[in-house]
Amino acid sequence: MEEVLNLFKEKHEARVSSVYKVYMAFLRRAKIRLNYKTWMLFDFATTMFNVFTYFLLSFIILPQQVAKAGYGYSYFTFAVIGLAASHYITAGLRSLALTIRLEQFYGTIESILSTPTDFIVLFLGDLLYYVIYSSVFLVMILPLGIFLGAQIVINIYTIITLLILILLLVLSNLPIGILSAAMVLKFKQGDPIGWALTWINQLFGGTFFPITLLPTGLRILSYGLPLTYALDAIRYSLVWGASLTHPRILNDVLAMIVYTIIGYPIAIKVFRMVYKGALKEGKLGIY
Amino acid sequence: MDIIEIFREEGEEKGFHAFLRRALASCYYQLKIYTSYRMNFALDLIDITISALIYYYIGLLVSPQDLAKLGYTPDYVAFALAGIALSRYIWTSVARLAHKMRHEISAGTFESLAAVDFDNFKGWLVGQILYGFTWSSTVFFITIFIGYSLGATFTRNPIFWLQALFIVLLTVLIHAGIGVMAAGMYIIHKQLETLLVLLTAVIEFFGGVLYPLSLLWNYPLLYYIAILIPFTHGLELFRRLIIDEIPLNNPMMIPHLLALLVFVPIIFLGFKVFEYYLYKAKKLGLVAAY
Repeated sequence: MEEVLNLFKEKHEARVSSVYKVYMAFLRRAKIRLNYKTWMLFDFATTMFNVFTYFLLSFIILPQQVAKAGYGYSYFTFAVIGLAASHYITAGLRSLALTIRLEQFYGTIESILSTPTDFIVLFLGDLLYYVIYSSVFLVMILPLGIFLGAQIVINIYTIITLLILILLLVLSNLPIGILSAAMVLKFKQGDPIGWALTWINQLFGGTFFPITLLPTGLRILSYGLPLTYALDAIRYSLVWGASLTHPRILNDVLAMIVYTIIGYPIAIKVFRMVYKGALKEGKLGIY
Repeated sequence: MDIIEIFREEGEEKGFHAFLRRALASCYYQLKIYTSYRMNFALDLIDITISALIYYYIGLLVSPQDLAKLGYTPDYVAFALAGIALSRYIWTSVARLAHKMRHEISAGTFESLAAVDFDNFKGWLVGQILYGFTWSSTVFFITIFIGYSLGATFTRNPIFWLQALFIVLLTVLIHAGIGVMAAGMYIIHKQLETLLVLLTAVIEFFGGVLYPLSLLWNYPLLYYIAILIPFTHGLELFRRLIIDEIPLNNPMMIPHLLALLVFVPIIFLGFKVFEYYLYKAKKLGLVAAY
């Protein structure tokens, strides 16, 4: 008995680097998801239908309000950029909660988390997968949009700006995603916060209409969401060809950095607390 | 209603009454499962409200003149919410049965259900359709109510609402026929479920849920595909009834009504196809395979 306890108490030196573990976690998620090719095709097809729907809708939309908000004279351009960026919201907000939910459902969460691998490593791997998956949508949506007449400026400056803004979009939304994952562990109720936040973001973040249309009271909610700043910067850059040095984009970048800096320590602390609580109570795998 | 007692019966009760009892029991147990997840219900409510609000704000961008030029009342909120309300029936009619069967098969309960004779099984099937209809109708009425609250100009005349409800029922039954047919095929062809989800997206896109169908006149191929889908005609009739107050006997409505009626045989065909595939799966021993 003593021997067995000692064996479990032993602390082996970590032979695998964290970066490699993140890569393996990414590969694992990608392999699982790539098994469901038809689902992926369906995802892509639905997105294409969405692009076409907004393309048709743009024929009966007056661009004045879009122009007033500073995004040029094409509603279709406005909507296409919103659609392309909206997939990253899922990555930032829902991927972690989804990971926990899936592992709970398949009964693998306990085995995975009992290894010497920190949950953050797993999260990062999964997040990487969802970011790359969302990027596939971006790469599909923007060219299709341009083909259908969206006025998007693509050059080396706007591409670099776009990449940085996407990174900030995911990072600034991630603390909320971590909190949402903590709620899944705590309340075992699917991912209600993740869903609610996705909808709130769609309504108040300005994905499909400029937030200037919202009444002043509701607009305050929009300014409380990192997505609002990310979408504003991405749209402004792609519509006018502006780079990171533009004051409007710089302001948005600053807002997202503030969210990230304040959000992370709080989110990680809450998650660790909930996680340790679930470990102690032995309720990690219960759903 | 004691669900266990109903399923325990040893076939003493036969005929339509027994069939109805089984159908109601099947619908009732599904409703019980759904209402036990209160959080899900709350999330569905938020989903409906937020979708309605998004299209309310998009409606503020729409040019009423352009909408009127295309032959519709210049109220986009009413236009979009009528489309969204009716489209809520599509997934539950077309894809939910196959989805439900996947659950039953993976949970290992489908074999027990399928072990009964087809008439009894049909009771379960109809009950599931009834549940889907009940759920979608709840969502439908909430969407319409939100529409009224947001100022959508839906008719308040009960005559038009009665005609509209007839169209809703007809559209749902036709799509449920497609759903039953697909669920039957699913027993053997397991890849079909994904295609069904895609089919619902296709139906919603071509049906013109968010844009006026006449915009497709510029793209003849897309327009011809659209008019081959029953939902397109159902939605067109539904919108004209509850927004424009055009009765079903108006010459403008007759072609759409006739087009919808052409699809009615699908309802009966659906059950025949299901019966065929279930019989085939039982013979091949594929009922529980997934």
